[in-house]
Amino acid sequence: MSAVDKAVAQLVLSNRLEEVARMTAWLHGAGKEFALPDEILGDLDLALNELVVNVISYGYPQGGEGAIELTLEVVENRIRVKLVDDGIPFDPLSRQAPEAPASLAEAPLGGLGIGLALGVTESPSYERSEERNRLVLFSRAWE
Amino acid sequence: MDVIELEGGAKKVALDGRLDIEGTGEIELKFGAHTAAARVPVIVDLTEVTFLASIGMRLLVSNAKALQAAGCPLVLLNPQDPVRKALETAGINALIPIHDDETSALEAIGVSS
Repeated sequence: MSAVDKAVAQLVLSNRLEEVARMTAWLHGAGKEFALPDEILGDLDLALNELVVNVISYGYPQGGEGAIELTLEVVENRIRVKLVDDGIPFDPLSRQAPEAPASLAEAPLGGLGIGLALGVTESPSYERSEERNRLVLFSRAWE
Repeated sequence: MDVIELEGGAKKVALDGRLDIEGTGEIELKFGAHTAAARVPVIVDLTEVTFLASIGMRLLVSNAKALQAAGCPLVLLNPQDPVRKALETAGINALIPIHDDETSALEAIGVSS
């Protein structure tokens, strides 16, 4: 399922990493349709990449087919992003932001993704209902 | 990925395109071979990189760490706005020096321009 109309774009992905390229193409199509400023599109590109890769990589430890639904909606001068998945319960907002490492030698190699996604977006909220993770967040406002 | 040999064995490695999970996967072995495994000072030219995700940052950090342990610097050159923003949001700019022009990048790795 993939559709872009005036104010809403939706996409359903399966839980395979090859789907990330399809999501990127869809997002850029929606960005063009909504005439999003480059910076806002760049932020959403980064946030959705990190969040969706995370869901695909860690949300289905038992394997099996999963569905990840993305909805973008223009709300005044922001984009409201909704990410719904049927993976294991995981609240990305429950994770403490890692402390900035003091040096390269001490820097961890992983764990940057969620912080990046939340760092370039605003007003995130999470709930688990009907056996789905439901994350809503907003792009920054544009002029 | 383009690799240019500089004086004294140093290298400039120019990356391009999207360093997302797919793009990073395509280059990681070759990139590691020219950086951490080569144990030489390295400039990573980001001019043509259009997107940098955490997986790409992980590649940069892991190779910079290994080079530092071997006594060799790794610096980043000229990231474009979205890539610079991603690096700053993740705090990578505090760990790996970013240079806007090639002359200062060369100086930083000890190569005269």
